[in-house]
Amino acid sequence: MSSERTIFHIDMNAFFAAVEQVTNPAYRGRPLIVGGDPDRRGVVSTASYEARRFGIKAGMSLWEARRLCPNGIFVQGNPARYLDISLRLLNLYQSFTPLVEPFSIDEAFLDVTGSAHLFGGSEAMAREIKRRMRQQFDLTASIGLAPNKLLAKMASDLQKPDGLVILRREDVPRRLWTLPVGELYGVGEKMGRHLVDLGLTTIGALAQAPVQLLRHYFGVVGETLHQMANGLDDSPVDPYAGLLVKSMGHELTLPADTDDREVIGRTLLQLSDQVGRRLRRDGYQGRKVTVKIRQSDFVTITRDQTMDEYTDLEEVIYETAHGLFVKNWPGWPKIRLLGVSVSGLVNARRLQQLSFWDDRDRLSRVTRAVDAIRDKYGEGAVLKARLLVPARLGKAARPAP
Amino acid sequence: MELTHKFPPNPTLKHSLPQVLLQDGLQIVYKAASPRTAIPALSGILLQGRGDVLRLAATDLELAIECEVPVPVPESLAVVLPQRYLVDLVRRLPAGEITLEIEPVTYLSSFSWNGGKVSIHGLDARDFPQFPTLKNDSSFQISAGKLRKVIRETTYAAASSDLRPTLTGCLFECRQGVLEAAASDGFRIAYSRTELREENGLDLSAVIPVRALTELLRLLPDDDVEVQVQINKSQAVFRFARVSLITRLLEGQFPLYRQAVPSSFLTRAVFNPQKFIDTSERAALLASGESSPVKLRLSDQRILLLANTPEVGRVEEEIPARVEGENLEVTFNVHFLLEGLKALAGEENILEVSGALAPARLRRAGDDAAFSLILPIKTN
Repeated sequence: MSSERTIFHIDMNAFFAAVEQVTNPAYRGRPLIVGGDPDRRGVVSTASYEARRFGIKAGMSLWEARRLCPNGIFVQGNPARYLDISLRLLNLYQSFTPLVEPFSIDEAFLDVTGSAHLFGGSEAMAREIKRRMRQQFDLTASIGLAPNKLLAKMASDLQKPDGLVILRREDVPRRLWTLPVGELYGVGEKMGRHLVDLGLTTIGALAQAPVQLLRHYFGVVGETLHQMANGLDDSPVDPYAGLLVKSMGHELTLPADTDDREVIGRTLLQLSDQVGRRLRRDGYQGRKVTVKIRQSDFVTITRDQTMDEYTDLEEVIYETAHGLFVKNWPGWPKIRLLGVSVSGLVNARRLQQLSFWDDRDRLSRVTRAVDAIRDKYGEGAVLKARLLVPARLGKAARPAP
Repeated sequence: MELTHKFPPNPTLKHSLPQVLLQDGLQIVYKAASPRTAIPALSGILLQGRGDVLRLAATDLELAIECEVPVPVPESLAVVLPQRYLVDLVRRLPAGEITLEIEPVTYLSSFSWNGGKVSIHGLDARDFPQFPTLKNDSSFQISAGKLRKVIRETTYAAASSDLRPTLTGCLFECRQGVLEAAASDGFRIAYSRTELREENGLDLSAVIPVRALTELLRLLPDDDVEVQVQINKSQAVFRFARVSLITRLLEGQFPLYRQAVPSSFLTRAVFNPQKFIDTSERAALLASGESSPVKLRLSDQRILLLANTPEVGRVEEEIPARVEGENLEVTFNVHFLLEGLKALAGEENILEVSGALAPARLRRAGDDAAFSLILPIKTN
């Protein structure tokens, strides 16, 4: 038996926008931008291919997107729907191989080494996956087909949309080495700059650089980079990778930069509420609370605190997050974005340390009753009074011109 | 205004003293300084001549420690020197007489000895905060031995995070000639009681930061030395030998912990603490990270300790014990058991439990002056 594996990387094309276009035929063929309410602030999360022709990219501010494409359709995302379709797509993949690793909401790795022959070979199998995706969901994807995850991932990037690219080890010099080094998976902006500074501007230059040099500059990471540039990667497709949750968090760009402590407090409470709800829904408790504060000058402060107890209660998360905020924000400049996350997670269904004289038990029962109501009637059915404010109150914090 | 106050009359201050006395004194006070503070004087140690003694002092405004070094030094000598250099420098000076010399105005201070000289920059001693003198206070005396015991038997249970600040302290209550102390992180309560030598009609209660007590523990002298304790509304002072430790008290109401202590238990086990500690330490080794649960099964003539950490391993050990009452099974955080046992280990110890959801009490056999009350972990 050959030791050569066959790995697919499936990358949905403009996933959120495509889902919206499938759901609402009026959006088809038109520039569609999925993000928040364009009157308020926020960023583009996905742009349809029609919108991309106007230069709109994910991560761009909605305001700028609107300037580039005034006639575009701007819609607010519908995360529940995307998640639902994402899970159904995973089901589809699982009818081809049990080794499916969800990589993000719109990406997955499949190890089809053992099952490709049942479908007439790996290429025929990839075409069949694409056919059924189109038939059942009316969606397209780019599939990369390669002997490892790294090359599969690189391959799916080479042809978009609706691509199918086979990348063999021997294709690496011809197809990857000419690309800028920043295109290599795992090379971020900062690492990219370092490499360019060393004269390693292309993936090929990195692949042919002496490994000692890379080790000298980047340590172990340097060796990994060298391997990757040569198309080598032996990491397995792990169907359980997504199940090991390490942290849960939410963040929010405020409607307007603010230094109003009431608005900030309320936002932290709202974020804590969302995190607590997710922890409880998935049966986790965490011990470390991290707060992320991005100021209007884009300086970002991240601070964490480890608590004495494991918790899934928003009150406790909020108290800790707010305490961290007060201790670490100097009061200036204004705040642009806030984030709250909880890590150090344990499975909460098993254990709970009892405690004296505080109402944690009672609070816990109340919280769970509220969860049940929200599950049935929606998130807005029960709200903390402090969160019951006009939706755009954030605007009041903006100084008068 | 007298100008002489601003410009010391004698041009250079110079005095010699034994290196070892200075080093010992610095070791006593240095931990109260706060090297990273924005207020320069607080990052230093005050050296101040007092005629017949040299006073050393350091503070971060929460905690202050001062001590008198028994060496005559004239009152004109006074300077604040940075803690981060001073302590390590003096430790590295040769033994014997050291001459300390302070330049007026610049406060450049040099330590010289036969064949060597090191200078460091100092600050005006007048920038150093005045330590409070307690008025309208209550005070009592306690032997260093008893105070040490009370601190060791309680502080381990205090909260380590400052989410509820009062719980990072230890409650001291003095009434009818008895000192009672308690600390709790909300999951366990440590309690210790001791008789004072004299009934002094006092009725006081104060929450003392654990950090101050930890420092005190480091400094307390021999068991039979008397310690003078003074407490007012916001501060406490501990005085002994030539040392004073002053701490700010924690504000807020300490929980009414006595209500949480059950008057009776369903089952009690008498056992050898060392055996239990050894077993628990093995379990703690494997249980690291999580809430470290261990299950205790009390039955017949033994306590069975079971711990199972997925992906790490398991412990299953029997501790011989005399068990009276119902057979019970309770799960605890193993660190709570260990810390309680280490603080309270006697010839024999007693564990009293009432079920999987009720607090359990750990104490020495034949001694109810100190205990650890521990809440279980609920397992679903």
